[in-house]
Amino acid sequence: MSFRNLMKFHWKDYRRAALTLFIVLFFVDILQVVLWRFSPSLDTGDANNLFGINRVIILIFTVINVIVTASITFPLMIGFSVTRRNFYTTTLLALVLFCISAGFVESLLFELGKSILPTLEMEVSSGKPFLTHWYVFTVSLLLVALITLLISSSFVRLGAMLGTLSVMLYVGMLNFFANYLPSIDFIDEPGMVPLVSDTPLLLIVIALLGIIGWLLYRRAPVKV
Amino acid sequence: MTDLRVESSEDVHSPTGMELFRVSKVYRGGQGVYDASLVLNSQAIHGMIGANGSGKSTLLALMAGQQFPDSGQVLYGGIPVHEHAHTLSNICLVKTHERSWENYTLKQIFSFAALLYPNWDAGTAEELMDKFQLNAKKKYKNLSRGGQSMAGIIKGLASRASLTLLDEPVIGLDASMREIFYKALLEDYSRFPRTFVMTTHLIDESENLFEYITYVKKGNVAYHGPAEDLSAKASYLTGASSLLEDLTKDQRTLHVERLGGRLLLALEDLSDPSERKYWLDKGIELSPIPLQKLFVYMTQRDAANNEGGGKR
Repeated sequence: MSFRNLMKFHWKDYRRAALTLFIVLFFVDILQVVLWRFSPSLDTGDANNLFGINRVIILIFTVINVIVTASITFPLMIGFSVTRRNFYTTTLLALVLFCISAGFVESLLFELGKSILPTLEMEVSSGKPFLTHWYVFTVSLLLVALITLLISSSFVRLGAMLGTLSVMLYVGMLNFFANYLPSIDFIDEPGMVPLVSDTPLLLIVIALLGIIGWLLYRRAPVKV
Repeated sequence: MTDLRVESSEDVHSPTGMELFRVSKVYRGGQGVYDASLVLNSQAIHGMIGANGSGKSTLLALMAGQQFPDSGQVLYGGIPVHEHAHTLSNICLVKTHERSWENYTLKQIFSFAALLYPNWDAGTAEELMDKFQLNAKKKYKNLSRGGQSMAGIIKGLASRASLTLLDEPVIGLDASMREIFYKALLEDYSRFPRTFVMTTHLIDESENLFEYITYVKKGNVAYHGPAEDLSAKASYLTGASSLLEDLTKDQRTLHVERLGGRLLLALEDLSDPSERKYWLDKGIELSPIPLQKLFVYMTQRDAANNEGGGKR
């Protein structure tokens, strides 16, 4: 089977969920604006909240999507006689492409918001330039995606006990990194690393997670 | 019984077909496959029989590269199957139940298969969907047990993989659907000869399909050879109890039935012509044992031998 067909497989597997996500984002944003404009008593917060919610929705979707990848897509592809190497490399590539696309859509909504919301008397902080915003959110999303892939793979591959231990290890790692990089607490801007300068280290962490993930899948059996 | 390890050791590295060489895969609890060797002739329909838990599904999963052996080699066309993309694309394993298919419609499942099997035949898939009266828009999890088996059969036949492994493909199928399957298998096989390995417990109705039989016993290959040879040696002996009583204690005796003053014995091996003549001269009736019956007797004998908690 060709690389192209493997990527087509991922596209077929992803597209409905990805489209649903983008439609949900669109309607949630409209709903928030409408509520803010016509029911100010509901207190939906300031305009920047709107973008925070977008990012949280994308993050939740990504987490669910990656859990599905580990628990369903892996046995599905292996069941269609795909090698583990081909599964893993194309899954990572599909994940990167998804994160780039989701980052693009979120950044686009942010840009649109910046130009439309002030006309509705909603002030939006200027934030980062479009490309920087897109890049930083994509990296943040990738980090979450890879950590989730690792944890869910651990559960699938190693069972509940070792899987739980891996979650504890993950929490420990987060605390460790947070001590050195307080900015990756993801609090100032929900779902996004605030500092561009933090991203090179995060990219190294992402690469390491990708390597550890391969070690998990390299000889992973499919249940008989 | 033929000991395959001896029989197949010479040609285990032949460049064609599926070859397992001293393969072991042991699960927690002791089940699995132990030091099994097997060479499957290409372009033939092989039947794989054995009691529940004897290791048939594990053997198929090892052949399909879905499980890694603890030791030993699994080769197809002389190449290790595990993680070899080209080799694997020529192998299709159909499981009894595909858990990962549950949330997909049949249309989605077969569109995935069309992308991932290089020789996928969409025409065959559609034809079989019609024959089995399956609705492509239905999700796998909403199909009956028989419907799920049909979906697996379609994957197996339409994949046109040169080695197709069918793990109990007729589970849940009614008699008429099983007939449709057997007919479709033979038609497809005659048009596109390739290697099929099929496990089943319904030996009576499928034995005519099989050119070769592999009998798996407690994680090992106890017999592999032409289907007719397995039952050819075995024989029923029917006659007066006084004549046959001594044979009831013979190691070859698989089954004993007392009918008043008469005895019916099932002997695993009565191939010696002089012995056959001896019993015939004494007025003992000899008759062949159907494969299904022989399998049942062998399984019961193995289970009885296993009693007492002995490990494999």
